[in-house]
Amino acid sequence: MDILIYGLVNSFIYVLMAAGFTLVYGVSRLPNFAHGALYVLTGFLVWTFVNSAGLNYFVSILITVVIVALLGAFLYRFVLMRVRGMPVSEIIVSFAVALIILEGLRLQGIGGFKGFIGSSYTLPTFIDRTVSIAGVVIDAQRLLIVGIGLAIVIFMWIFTRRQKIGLAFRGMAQDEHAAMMLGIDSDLMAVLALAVGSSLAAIAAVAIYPLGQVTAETGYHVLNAALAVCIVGGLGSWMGAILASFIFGYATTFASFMGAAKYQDVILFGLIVLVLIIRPSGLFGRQKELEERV
Amino acid sequence: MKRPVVLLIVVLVLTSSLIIVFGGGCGENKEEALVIGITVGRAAVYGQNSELSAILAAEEINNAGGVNIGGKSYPIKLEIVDTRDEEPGVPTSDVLLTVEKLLLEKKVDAVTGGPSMSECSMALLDLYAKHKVPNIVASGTWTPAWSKKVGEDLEKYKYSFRLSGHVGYWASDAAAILDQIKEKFNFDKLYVSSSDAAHTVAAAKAIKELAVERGWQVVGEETHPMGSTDYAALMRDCTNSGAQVLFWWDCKPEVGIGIKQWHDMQVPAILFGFLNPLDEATAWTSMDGKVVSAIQFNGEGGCLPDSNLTPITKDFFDAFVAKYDDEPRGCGNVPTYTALYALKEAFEKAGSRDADKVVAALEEMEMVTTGGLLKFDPTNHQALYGTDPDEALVGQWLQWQDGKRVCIYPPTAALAEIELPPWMQ
Repeated sequence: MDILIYGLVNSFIYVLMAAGFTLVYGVSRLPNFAHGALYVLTGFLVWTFVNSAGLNYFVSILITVVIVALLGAFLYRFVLMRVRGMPVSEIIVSFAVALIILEGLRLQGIGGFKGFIGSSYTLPTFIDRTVSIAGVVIDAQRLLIVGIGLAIVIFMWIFTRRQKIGLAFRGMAQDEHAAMMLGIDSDLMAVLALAVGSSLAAIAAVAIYPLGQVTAETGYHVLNAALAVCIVGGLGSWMGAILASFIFGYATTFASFMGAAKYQDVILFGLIVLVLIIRPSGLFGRQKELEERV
Repeated sequence: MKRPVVLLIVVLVLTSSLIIVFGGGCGENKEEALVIGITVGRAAVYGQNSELSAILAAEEINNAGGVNIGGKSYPIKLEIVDTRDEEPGVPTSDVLLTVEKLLLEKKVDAVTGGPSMSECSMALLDLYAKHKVPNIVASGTWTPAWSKKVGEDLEKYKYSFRLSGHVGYWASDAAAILDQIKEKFNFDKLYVSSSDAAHTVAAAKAIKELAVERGWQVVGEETHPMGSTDYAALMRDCTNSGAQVLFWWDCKPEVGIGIKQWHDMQVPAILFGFLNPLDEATAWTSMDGKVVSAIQFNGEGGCLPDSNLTPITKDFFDAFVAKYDDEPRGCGNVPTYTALYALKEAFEKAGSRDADKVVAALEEMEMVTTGGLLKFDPTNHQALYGTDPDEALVGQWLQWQDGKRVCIYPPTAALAEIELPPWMQ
């Protein structure tokens, strides 16, 4: 039962971490390596609004999600658009932006800024209590993560099937050229995808950070997790990302509860290799298949 | 089109030259100040601690008239460099280059601070030996291998001293605390956990062995990856094992997740060890009081409120709070602060800037400091640590009680007795 419940929670943590990255890649074919940095930036922005500006926690979250969404849009419009279509440049540029954000947050000295260093930066939990489900004790924040993750999955499903912009996203994801022939503006869709993807990173941050500390180092971990999920699921595939999240969530939880916690990373990366050997494009990916057809 | 480019280059060259000459790049007049290099990894807590305390000590010394060398007073000039040793992906070779640049360009009289990573400090021993620069490691570098290496060729490494302690000292402290717990609560079941890093695994192993020698039964142990985000399995296993004490050594900030889970799942075991977030003075508020009764190694002594290890301990604490509006964290602060004063004393006693004379003065040093009596082991230049601040430096262990960091070890400095978590009372 422990494995079932904590596996579910950890699966949704992966879903949240990877959702924004998957959406951006699916729509614009841009690997946004600044995804983890935007996640970290969210944590520190909310912390600053609450602790330095004295704003209400939920107002701070709202403002931060909007700021990070705008930042994502600017990132495409003023940086990534210039290198779009050059895969190596896209990776280098977006990773450079990530480094500027992550290392900038730790930088000290400019204008008396102390740098966000140490373990004292935390975000409050939404509900501070524990519950027992079938004898398994779990804190309410973790259950909330499941709820938020589920809400995002349902929202994205409805959004991409019922809303005009969402349908345009799907069109772009399925065939960019055909979508453009039907009048969909590729750059506008990419701007919107970056904005929505970044806001998903921000939502993930405010859901997950209350479990522990806000640190710059988390950015690299989140990027790794998002990449792993997307590669195994199939780059750009929403269903693949969800399935991969569940595989990783349950595999790592199973390892922990079976007394093999220190092999979590071995299992994680072993799974990536295994899946890619069997299905080189990932579980739901189509790149390799399309290349072979051509 | 070519003229503006040539003009731009000329302007840039001139500007750079002016910055170098007047900005102190290579035109520094060494005779006017005692130049101390401070090597810190700024992106990490230890480095930040070292830098803050070095600045504080230098200001105090300069305000009191500087360093009197051979009848002439010199102010201390700090040359602080970021060694970046705790940043991901920074190789040891980069750290060495940074320090060598400091030694060659700034012509420092001595160096203190970090790096905190043991492998970097070990590698630097040869560099300091080559350049014959007195240096005191004062931040992290807790491996016993450092003093072993120095002791094996003291003539070569005579310029290097270590003021921070090492794991051997802290493991003995931890074992003594286990003795106290056993005696007071009649507990004898221990669960040992650590993150999967060489130094944390080694520390956990040392504790396990010492505990067994003292009659403890190790009922469970585990190692988890660094930066784990879920410790539910550890908490469940610890609870099921019947352990009464959970000894946990983990240096990553993410371990805060585990501390909260220990509290939320009300694990019936005293949490005890070295967990990064517990060292923060703000841990009680930032973690909603979920650190209650957790016992934490606070590093080299002198950073806890109300501590009076020596007559000057409180002076340091109050001066730090007054300057930075924050209480000092445990590791790196007191050793670096002390190192500056030790260097002052050594240069004054040497009466010159001659490195060999300064080394001789450090070897003979016996000085009352913030964290106890400072003496270096003549066989390996390691500062001596013990449990009585009148005889040696001490490490301090705290327990979070009523929202405060309270010293519970060593007995000579303890201000309270160990308490059980509320759910175990």
